[in-house]
Amino acid sequence: MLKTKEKNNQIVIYLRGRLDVHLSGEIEKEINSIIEKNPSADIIINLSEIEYMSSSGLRVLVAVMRTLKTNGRSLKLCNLNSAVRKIFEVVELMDMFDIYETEEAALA
Amino acid sequence: MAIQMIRETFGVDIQEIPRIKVFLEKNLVQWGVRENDLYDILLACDEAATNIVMHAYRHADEAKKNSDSIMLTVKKKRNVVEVILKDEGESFDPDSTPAPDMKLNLAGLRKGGFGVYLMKSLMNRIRYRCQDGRNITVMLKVLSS
Repeated sequence: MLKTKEKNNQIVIYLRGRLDVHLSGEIEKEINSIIEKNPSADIIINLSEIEYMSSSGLRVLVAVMRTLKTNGRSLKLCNLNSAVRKIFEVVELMDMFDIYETEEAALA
Repeated sequence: MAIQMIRETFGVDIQEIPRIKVFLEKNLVQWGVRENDLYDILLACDEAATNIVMHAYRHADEAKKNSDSIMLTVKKKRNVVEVILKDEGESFDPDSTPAPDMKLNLAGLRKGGFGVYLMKSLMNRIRYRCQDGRNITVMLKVLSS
């Protein structure tokens, strides 16, 4: 069960641990369930406790962004550690996502 | 200088991917590979093994998946780490994979495509060949320190 927080019609989802091919399918289902239960809320994903992420994790985040954009909603990412940030930089996705240094900045 | 080498076989199963990472990480740390290079090698190997399970064995039945294995060999000589993965699934040449396209991904016309791109970007060289029914992927990393 993913930990979440709601503020000003924004849902913060806290991901932790590994976001790899082994776990990404389950995590994607949980995120989609949160999106469905909060049909008007924008989503912020806090990645501070992600210790490892592969392209399977990127694929999940892209899929979440696609789902939200289709419904006119937004996705923000925050608290990327250096390893996760490097992946975004290598595949040149920093500009494609709305990325914030801190959760407070993403919520503002 | 002596070549350090490890070899291990893993099942053709998504559940094995974390095991590959743990095995590789433990040994590379023992060889003194430092954090940035370590992460690059772990991620590239994760992506290569994931491609084997998800693509090379996509059409394989359970019997073949259960009887086959992924053989991982890792060598270190001076400041170069070589990772070799062998499998007997369908041939899968990383060079045949187009670069990721975010617009196609967002339009739902393509899923992913980031794995091979990451492998090529994080490692210094990737070579693939199919020999005697075996896929052989070789990745080289020149250590930065």
